[in-house]
Amino acid sequence: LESDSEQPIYIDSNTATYDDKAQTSVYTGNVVTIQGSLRVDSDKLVVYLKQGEISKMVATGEKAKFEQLPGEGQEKIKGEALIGEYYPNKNLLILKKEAVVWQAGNKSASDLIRYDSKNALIKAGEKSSDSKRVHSVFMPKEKKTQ
Amino acid sequence: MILQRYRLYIFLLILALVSWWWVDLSEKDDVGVTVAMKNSPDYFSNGYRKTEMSDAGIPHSDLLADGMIHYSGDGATHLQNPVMTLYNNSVSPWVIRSESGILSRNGEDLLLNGKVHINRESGEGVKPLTINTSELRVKLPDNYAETDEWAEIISPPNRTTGVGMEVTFVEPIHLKLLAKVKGRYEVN
Repeated sequence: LESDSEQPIYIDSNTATYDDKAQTSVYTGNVVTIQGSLRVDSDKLVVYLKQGEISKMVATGEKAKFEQLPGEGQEKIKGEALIGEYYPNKNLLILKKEAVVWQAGNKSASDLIRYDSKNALIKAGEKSSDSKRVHSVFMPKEKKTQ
Repeated sequence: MILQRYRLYIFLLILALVSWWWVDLSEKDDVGVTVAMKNSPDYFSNGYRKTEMSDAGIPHSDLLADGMIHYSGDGATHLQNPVMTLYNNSVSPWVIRSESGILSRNGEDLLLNGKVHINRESGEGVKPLTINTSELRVKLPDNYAETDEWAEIISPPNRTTGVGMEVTFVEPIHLKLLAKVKGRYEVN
C-alpha cells in the first residue's frame, strides 16, 4: 500500500547481533520483516544504520521471499530471489540472482528486478548487460463468453 | 517372671538409646551452627568504591556501591545498589546499575541481581545505547557480560528485544540476543 513506507519496520528472528562500530544489526533464523503490507521472509537480514536510521536492508535466503498488497482489494504482488536489497527511504526493493516476480497472474524472471514498493512498479533486467535478460509471461485476459 | 528379672537391664538400655539420640541431635545443631559461622560476614562498610587501573595507569573500571558486606567463607563481597563504570578509550563509558550484586573472591566475576540497566551516552560516531535486563553475569577482565533473561536494547528511536544476551563492552563492541528476537525501527 502507498502508506506502507510511513509505517515502522518490525523484524522477528531467532537471534540478532548488533555491531556498534559498523552500525549494523544482523538478524538470523526464520527472519520475518514487516512494513505495513510489505512482508519479507528470509534466512538472514542485515540492517545498515546511518545516524540511527535504516539506510539499507539486505535479505538473503534460499530464497528470500517478499509479498505486498499494491492497493486495497488488489491481488498481492509476490517475488523471490537469492538476495533482496531494500532501501526504505527510496521505497525500492532490488531482487538479485534468480529473481522472479508474480503480479496479477503475470510472471517476470531475471537476474535483476527492481520493484518500486510505493507505486507497485516492476522493472526487470539491465540495459548494460545480457546476463540480466528478462523472461516474462503475460496471461491473456479471460474471454467473455458470448 | 523373666521380665521382672531383666527389668533393670531394659531400663538401662532405653536410657542409653535416649541419651545417644540426644547427643546426636545436638551435634547436628552444632554442624548447622558451624556452617553458618564459617560463612558469616567478617567486615562491612557503608559506601564502597573500587577503581581498577590499566597498565598505562588509566582508569579501566570503577565499582561504587551504597554499602558492602564481605563474607569470610567464600570471600564474596555483597554490594547494595552497585554502579559499575567500564571506561573505553575511544568511546563514552558504559555505566551498569543494578539493585544488588555479588563480587567473587578474585574480584573478576560480578553477578548483578534483579533489574539491571546499562547506559552508554552518545559520542563521536556512536549512538546512545540503553540496555535493560536482569541477572547479569559480568566477567570484568574480559569486559564481557551475559544473561539468560529477557533483554531490551534501545538505540533511539529503534528498539530490539530478545531472550538471552551476550555483550562485549570493548572494541569491537557488539551485543547478541540469543532467542525470540523482535526488532522495531522507525522510518522517516
